[in-house]
Amino acid sequence: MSELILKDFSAGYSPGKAAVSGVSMKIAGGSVTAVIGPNGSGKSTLLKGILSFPGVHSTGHATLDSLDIQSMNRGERAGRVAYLPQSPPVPAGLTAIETVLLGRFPHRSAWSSDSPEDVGIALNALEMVGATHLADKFTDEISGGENRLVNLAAVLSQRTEVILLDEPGSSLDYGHAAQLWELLSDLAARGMIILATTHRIEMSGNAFDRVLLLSEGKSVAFGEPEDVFLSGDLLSRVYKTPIKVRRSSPDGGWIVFPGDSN
Amino acid sequence: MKRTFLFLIVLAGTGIAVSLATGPLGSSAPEQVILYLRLPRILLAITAGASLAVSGCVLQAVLRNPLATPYTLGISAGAGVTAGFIILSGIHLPIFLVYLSGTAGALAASTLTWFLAGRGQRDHSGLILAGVTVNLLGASVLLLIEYMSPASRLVEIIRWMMGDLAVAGYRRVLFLLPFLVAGMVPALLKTGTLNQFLTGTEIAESRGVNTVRERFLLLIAAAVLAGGAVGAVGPIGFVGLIVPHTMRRLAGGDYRRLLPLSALGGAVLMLWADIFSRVVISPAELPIGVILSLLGGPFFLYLLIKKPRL
Repeated sequence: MSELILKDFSAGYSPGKAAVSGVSMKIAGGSVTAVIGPNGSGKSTLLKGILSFPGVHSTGHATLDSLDIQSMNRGERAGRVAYLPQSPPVPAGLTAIETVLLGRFPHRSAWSSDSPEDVGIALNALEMVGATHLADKFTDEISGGENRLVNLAAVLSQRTEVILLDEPGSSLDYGHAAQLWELLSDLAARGMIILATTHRIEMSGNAFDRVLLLSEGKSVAFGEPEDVFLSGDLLSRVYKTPIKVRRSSPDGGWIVFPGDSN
Repeated sequence: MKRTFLFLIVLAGTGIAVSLATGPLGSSAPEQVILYLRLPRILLAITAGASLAVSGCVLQAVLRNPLATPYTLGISAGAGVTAGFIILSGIHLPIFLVYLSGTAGALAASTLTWFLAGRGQRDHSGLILAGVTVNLLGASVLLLIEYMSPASRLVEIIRWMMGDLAVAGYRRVLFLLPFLVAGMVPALLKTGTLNQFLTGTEIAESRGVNTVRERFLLLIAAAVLAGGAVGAVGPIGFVGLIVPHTMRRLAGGDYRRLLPLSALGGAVLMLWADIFSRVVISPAELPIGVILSLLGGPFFLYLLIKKPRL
């Protein structure tokens, strides 16, 4: 099973100026990790740093199965790690199935046509996110939430061991958000590593089993949700407001009570 | 796609036939007129049209802007400045060098745009902003050149800016051909990469595209295509805007289909625009740039009313 390790990892947009620093964690396959923290705490930068995007400078180590992710060539990395940004542009003029098929790019040459296998994988990905009905619709004619599902299907069609998601539930309604986190949980159960930033932990049910808490560009806590959420007034200090997080039932999802110090 | 392709092939075929049969023969032998005047003109229209359309098509993806045209990179202004300077100076250059000067100006302007945008490290909006700056700068220099030009040369400059397909022999086609091949081949080979640019730099990068390098290579391909065309026929506008948009409406946005169709569509548009330019006030000719500008205005209106697809 795969293993993603970050060791004293920092990333930022100019050399020597880290937007997020000191992140150390070890995530084994079969795990969903929620990256949480206030706006500007470095959640998105962390994901971009792991992927060595142009213009993002990083230090420290990020390894996947002992291989330095940043030393991998782009093709190799794309075959192992997929990424969905917070607000990707809508590739207008393409149908949903064509958009999902773009996720097969790392597995074929730059100009070849889609093989029946690619089409099968793309249709399967659309089915997994519950968006088969959108297959032939143009992406500039469907809603933001529907586009989110299509983009997620494209990520799934990339067939990688690791998926990095930036606010995957944003713009999704309650039903689709719950379905999304369930899906992430299912994917993890197949041995994948999921790392997802989120502001809405109450929408994620019981899907994640690890939490990385960032504050002002620093890693504040990493561990099981109970350890992070129930650790004194840590969340209140990070979010600078009284905040309480509890399970809805002993095995239930998390409920957030902002402004509640009791 | 097949229907669109066949439709364009029919339009191209009839366009070639009509173009061969259109125009006065004068006192020359008909086969001479066809072989040395009309056929090279047709070939020039086809190659220049395909070059400009593919250039615009590539730029609309790389710059992620539905209004991007070959001239967004400052190509028109650059070519205008060098051509204007040569006309004003009265230097008599070999004809090949005259074409080349337009191309050199176009490519120099694109290079300046690239460096002003921070050598492409910045995003697509940086390149567009730099292109607009270079265009304005070039337009100002060209205005100065025009102001300083005597009337006869001023007319010559203005006439050059309107574009011209009138040829005798194959020199201009031969001039354009290497630029066409040098730009078209990489563009066609990178249609999958262009598709990835539609999803944004970050997703493209995460799928294995070296976005900085690929953007640079594709911009070079687009600049070479447009620069060659501008050198050969002058800064003819709108082909690079109208054609990719129309093809996108007809056949969708997948660049594996869109790019070859745009090449064909550009050739067809230029071919028919040239025919109109020769028949509207026959036996005189209207500059092809005027015909395409008259088409371009309403097309912008169409874009305004209908949501553009990119």
